[in-house]
Amino acid sequence: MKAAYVNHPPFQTTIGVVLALVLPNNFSYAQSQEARQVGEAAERVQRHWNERAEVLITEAQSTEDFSYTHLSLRPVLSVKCQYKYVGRMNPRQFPLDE
Amino acid sequence: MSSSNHSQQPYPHAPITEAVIDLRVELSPEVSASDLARVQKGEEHSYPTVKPINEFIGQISFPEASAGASAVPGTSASTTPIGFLFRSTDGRQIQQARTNGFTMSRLAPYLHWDGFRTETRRLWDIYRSVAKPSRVTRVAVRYINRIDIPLPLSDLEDYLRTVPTVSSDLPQGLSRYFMQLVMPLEEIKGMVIINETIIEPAKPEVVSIVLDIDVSRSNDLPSTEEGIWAMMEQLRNAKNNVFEACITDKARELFQ
Repeated sequence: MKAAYVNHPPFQTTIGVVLALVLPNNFSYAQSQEARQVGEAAERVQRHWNERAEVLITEAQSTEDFSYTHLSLRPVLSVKCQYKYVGRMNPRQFPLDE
Repeated sequence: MSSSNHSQQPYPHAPITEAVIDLRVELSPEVSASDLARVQKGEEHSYPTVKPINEFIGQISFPEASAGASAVPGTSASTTPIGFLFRSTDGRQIQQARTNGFTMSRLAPYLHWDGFRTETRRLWDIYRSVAKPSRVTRVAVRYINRIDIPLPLSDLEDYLRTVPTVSSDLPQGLSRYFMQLVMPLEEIKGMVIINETIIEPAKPEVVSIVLDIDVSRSNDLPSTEEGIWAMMEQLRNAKNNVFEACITDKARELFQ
């Protein structure tokens, strides 16, 4: 099969990814059960598509709005300390919120 | 697309489940949906069932948050009447008179084009006299076919010539699919939308495939009634050519 791309308004635009799918409100209005099932299938495709594309579209948009300044690095410090065991102690008093 | 060599004689058992003639229009602002009820005047016996057609619009708005307060989304919904649906006594013929157009549907069993077109034009004339459209913006002919292919089915291409192409490196069993093709038809300065999908089978021993062909034109529409209906013939011929191009002789045998 040979299939060439043809740009044909209004359903195809150079940037119109979503417009690749024609939805039932752009079909000729029909009444039969079969027409309803075709419409439902097209809407399911759209939902499936939107759910998967939403994250990508949101990321692309937020990347443009988002600015980031990194924190300057700080050198690692070494601390030496010594512990002394003083034996078993009572637990500290801890006020309870009531 | 080249014309089909197959005869345009109707099939004795045509798979047509619905034929549609659709005209989209612009009305003057003073014509309201309620005015379209007058389309039924004189047709009460032929089209006794009336149902209003409403357009539902839902909206969610996200206001900007003011300092220290979070924004609460607002929702609204409205229903607007846009016309009426009139159904014939046997329920097989349905006309829709809307503020954005007129549509005539013929449900199965489909008889013949001449009768369908003549009845549609008769009712369109009534619609025009009531709605007085300022211009026609789109004309379309849509035929929805349900092809019941007997099981077992080893290759869809035995019956259909427009099917999804699956790589030979993949499993060849296809349990479900939805395919939509949108193609310009240069010879009629229009376009065709082909929807093809598997639906719930009519009987357990078949697989039912819908072949839905919607041929339309929106540009350079004739300004006269004669011109519009001559174009409708062109759209119907184009639809027939698309249909014949999509099926094989084995499919044609099913319709004999």
